[in-house]
Amino acid sequence: MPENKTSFEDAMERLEEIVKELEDGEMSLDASLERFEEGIRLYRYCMKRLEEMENKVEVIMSDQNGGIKRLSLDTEGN
Amino acid sequence: MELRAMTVSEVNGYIKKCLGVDPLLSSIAVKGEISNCKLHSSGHLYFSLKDSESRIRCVMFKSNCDGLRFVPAEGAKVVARGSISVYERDGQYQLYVRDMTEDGLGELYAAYEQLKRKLEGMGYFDERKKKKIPFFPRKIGIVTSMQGAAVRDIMSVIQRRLGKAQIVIYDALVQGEKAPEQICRGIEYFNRKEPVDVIIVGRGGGSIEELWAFNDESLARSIFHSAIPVVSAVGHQTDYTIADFVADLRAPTPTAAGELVAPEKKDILRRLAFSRDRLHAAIMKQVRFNREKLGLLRGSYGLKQPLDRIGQQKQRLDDNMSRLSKALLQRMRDNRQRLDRTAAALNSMNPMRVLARGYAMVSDAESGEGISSVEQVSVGKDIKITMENGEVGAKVTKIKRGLIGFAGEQNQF
Repeated sequence: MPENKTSFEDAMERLEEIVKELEDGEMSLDASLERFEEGIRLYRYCMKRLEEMENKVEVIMSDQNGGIKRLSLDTEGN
Repeated sequence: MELRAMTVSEVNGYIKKCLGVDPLLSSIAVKGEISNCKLHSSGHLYFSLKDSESRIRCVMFKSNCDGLRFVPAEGAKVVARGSISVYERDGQYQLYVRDMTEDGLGELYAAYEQLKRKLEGMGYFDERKKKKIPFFPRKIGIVTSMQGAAVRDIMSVIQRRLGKAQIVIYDALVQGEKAPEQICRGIEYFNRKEPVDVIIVGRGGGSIEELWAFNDESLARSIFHSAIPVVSAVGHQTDYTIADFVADLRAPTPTAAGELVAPEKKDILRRLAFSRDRLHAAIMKQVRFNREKLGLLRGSYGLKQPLDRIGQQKQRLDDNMSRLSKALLQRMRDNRQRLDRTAAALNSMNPMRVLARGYAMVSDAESGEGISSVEQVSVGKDIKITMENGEVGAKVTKIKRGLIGFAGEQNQF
């Protein structure tokens, strides 16, 4: 599993949950502001994750003896 | 007794009924070679099955043809399953084929069905055991052949949708005897050495034999025990392999696998922006609401009243202050008047003023004692007479007793 504890989808789901809670408007102002801050944090986290995306293609080849060779592919080509 | 003559239709109908109740003929598998194969424009397939000595006419209706996994050709050795019945119009019995496989595959199918039942019994296909495919994978593992078409299909879809992606391809044979083992190793590689968020296992379309590696039991086990979610992408839409049943998600084709695994980046961005806007709108609404509430409170009677009271008190205080100072001033003025009056009275009693009116004051020239009675003097005594503008020394020459007058002036003060 990936290193990062909060998965992108968890963050996204939590963000949407917060939006709904806030829209219901049944929270105190303090709680609302807290949620709002959390929401913005989650939003930034998701954006960061999107921006951090790498473009990298690697091929793992194994031979008969179980040895493994690693090969980087030019991502523009095939 | 003469036999009753039957019509041709009656005979054919009777034979059909006889055949229909025969348990063997109503469900039969026939093997042979295809000849005289004709695909009618209606979509029904007409052909004969033959062996070295005999032939039987066959028909396969369109609805059944759709399930065929191969294209029936002249001379193909097949096993046809169905029932034997009569085509009454021609008085012709024929095999109505429900499904047909290439001969030799029958055993494979049996094995497939057996394995499928076994694994199903072991809970390998249980929906509750299926892992969730991450909605946004950071790193995607693919187990397939670098020689195949599938790898290009999968990669191009992923890169088109995500823009950028981190993909690791484990190159494995996807057909032949060694394929299952290599595919298993690929799955294990990702589980043990190179963590990815999701693994796609698959290959492009091919014949049943070519796809057979994906019906392997050890591969099924490997997929089932993978801690990383596995998406299967084997062959075409119509191909169902054991791997498809065990996988956490079955993609009908390799391209579809790419679509299932990689979300469209612009969709995510849109979803995020939507959430952000709603977040802002919601908090602004809250703030506005609270501000309005505050405004109302500020104008409310409850809050205004104490302020009002203070104002009143202040005014009263000011009032008192001014009254106080006014009183004080008045008092000072009164005192001043009284003082003036006293001073005037005092002034009027000044003996000098009496002298100014022409009176004179007599005193003993020696002792300086005032003399107000004739008894205090005797003839020849030196006296001093004080007047307004000086003194006169004199000597008493004559004394006359008795009241002289001026009664009117005696009680002036």
